Amino acid sequence: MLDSFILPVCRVSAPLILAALGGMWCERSGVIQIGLEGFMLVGSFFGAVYALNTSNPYIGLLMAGVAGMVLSSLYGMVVLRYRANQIVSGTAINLFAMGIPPFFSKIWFDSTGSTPPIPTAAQFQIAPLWITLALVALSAWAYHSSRFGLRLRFAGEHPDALQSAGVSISWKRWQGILISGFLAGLAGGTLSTYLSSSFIRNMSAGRGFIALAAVILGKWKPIPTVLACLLFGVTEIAQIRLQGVVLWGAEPVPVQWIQILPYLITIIVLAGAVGRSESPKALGNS
Amino acid sequence: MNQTETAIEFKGVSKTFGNFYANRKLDFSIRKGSIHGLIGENGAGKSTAMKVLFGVQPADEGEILVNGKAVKIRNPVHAMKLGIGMVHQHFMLADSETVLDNIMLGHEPSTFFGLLKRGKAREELEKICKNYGLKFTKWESRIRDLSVGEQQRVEIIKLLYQKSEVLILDEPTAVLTPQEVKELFENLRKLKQEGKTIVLISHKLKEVLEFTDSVTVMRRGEVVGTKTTSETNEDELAEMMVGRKVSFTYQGPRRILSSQAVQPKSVLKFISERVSVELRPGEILGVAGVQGNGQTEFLKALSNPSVYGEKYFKGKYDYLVNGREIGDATPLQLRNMGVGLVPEDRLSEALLKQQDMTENFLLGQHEDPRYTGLGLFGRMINRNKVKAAVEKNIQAFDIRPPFSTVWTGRMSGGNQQKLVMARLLDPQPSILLVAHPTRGVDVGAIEKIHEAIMMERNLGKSVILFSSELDELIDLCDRMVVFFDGRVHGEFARKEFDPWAIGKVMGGA
Repeated sequence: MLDSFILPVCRVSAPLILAALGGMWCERSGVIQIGLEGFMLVGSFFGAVYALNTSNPYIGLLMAGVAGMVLSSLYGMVVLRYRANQIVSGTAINLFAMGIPPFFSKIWFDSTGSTPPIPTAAQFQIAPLWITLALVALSAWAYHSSRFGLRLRFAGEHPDALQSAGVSISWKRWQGILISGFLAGLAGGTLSTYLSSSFIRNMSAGRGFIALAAVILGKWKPIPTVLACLLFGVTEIAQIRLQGVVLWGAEPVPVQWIQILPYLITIIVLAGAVGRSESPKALGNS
Repeated sequence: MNQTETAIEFKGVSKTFGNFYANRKLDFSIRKGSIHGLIGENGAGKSTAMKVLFGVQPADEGEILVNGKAVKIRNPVHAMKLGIGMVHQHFMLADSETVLDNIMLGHEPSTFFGLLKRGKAREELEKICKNYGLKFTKWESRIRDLSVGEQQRVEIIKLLYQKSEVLILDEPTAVLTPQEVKELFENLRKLKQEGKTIVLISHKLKEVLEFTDSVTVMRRGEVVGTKTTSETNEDELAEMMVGRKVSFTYQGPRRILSSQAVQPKSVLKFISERVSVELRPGEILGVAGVQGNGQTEFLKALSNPSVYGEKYFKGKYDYLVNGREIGDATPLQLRNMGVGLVPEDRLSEALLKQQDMTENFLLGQHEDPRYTGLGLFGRMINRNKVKAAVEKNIQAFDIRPPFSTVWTGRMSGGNQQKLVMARLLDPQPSILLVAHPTRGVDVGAIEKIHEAIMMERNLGKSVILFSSELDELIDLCDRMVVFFDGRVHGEFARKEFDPWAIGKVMGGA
């Protein structure tokens, strides 16, 4: 059970959890974050690149976070400094991010969008799970009991109150965006250095959006968000396990139908279970 | 404490927007440890003066002295450091957060690692409440679970926690029941005894007279004068405010309701599980209640049952006008049956700001035979007729500026409202639904509007008047229903009108 189910669920949930925590912090500060997907993609690419070059997965993971953060600073510049529409700019960031790995992989590896395999010594065994667990604990603590969390929450709930208390709104929002970039970058890093052994084209495959769905399903609160990620993790594993299995009749269900499962669950759960909207009041107004 | 010490002094402070003086050479001072009223009509410059003091907008000339020292107040945070705090009309509280978190925001006691010391903050707050004799215990409640009065108390405690010495309250009683108002001022008096200075921005003369020590009157951006409250009276202050003699209560004729009012028949009847109201011929029926207790929903259902009847009353109601069931009528059908409407929000529901008076006057009357004629393409609007009608009404209601081509967005609130009233009365409705006709309207226009409503009543028309100003309802109405928690919670006949008793019902008693 542990080896065949729980551990795999944790493995596939870890990147979702990291990205979703990032998304939660960003949206709590009042900025819509649909760029998680893009941050994850560049994170997974640069994570693989640095793990390859340094033979150290930790440096790879760290640089994955940094890469996500650098890209998120571009997003911050556009939406905070120049007040652009957050949905449109987030989409642009995602499209932009899609071009980054092919560009550099052509220069560095003469390939069109993937990296050579990372040697086993430079791959993670289990460490990312502990890192994720630590970051979940830190986020939950910071959200409920720290001065940082309190102020960041007000940036999304009632920015005027925050400002009249003498705290800069845009600084809190910058922090929210940069955290989301770093965490989503880390999430991407785990994809290439932990869940598989190289970067492949379009590696994030919509996980950034599933993470965002988890934030919404978790009502922008840390623990419920993590639980939502685990739910998606379970469907992902179920999806893998159900491939090629004969459920009824003589033929197995076509694999394409099974692969729809995580996305289908996302839609159903979001449409059905959200109930009263608890989104931060000032989300998207800047 | 030295009684003559001043906390705040304005010395020749001016503030202009373009070539318009919002404040012109303001000179007045506020004594330390007093309750000081700042009154004036809407647009008289009270708010601008306080924004300058609170550092929201810098003054163009002149200086402000805080505790005798000239200071340039750069921003609200700077003002707070100088001990000036403000309770805004719209509270600066996040609904979904706890009282404690809201209060300590920005001044949180915390450890080196940023861990909040909520217990310590709470102790400090309890000490503050004890020192100032304030009653409050719901520190862990979320703001959305508190009443408006309690939220206001949280705002005041927040200022005390931030060590404010001067507390500015912007129209603090607008959303309170009379009981809550009394409690507020009891609390403010306690604060005053402890040496705090309180500035009360208001347009309600009665409360200013009752609760302040001194009062500064503003008109058209200038200070008209500062008076000791005990040495002045309502008439004098009103005259200073408006610049001429005014009466606040309607003093025109009030026709005694004749036997027709005794007739049981009603012109309008709305019966549902929670709200049942009947309007008798020739009466003004007031709808009172603290904002947000179902009056808005009721008005919407009355004025557009085809949409809001389903939305707010789930289709389970009877709505009769002149004996006819009209449960799903559209606004146009209602209009054709002689029901007229003044919506709640003048700017968002009644007017097109970037259109002139003619266009606005025509709204809803574009099919009226009086303003249309047969043209090349069938029935068409006859502009000349509309313009003539508008000009007649500009005369009758004294609307300024008196040009039909002016954009309504450029007119003052009072003149906008006069136009809305003119449009209401133009098709000669027999039933008038009038909501907040004098909100944000200057005293001169209030008189005109009250007169118009009363005249209709005296002509035998029936009126439902929604208002958050209890005085206005008491003054005009023949009967009053009080809303609380989405229901009609009480009913009063004119001879039973008593603000205190009505206030109790408004508060849910």
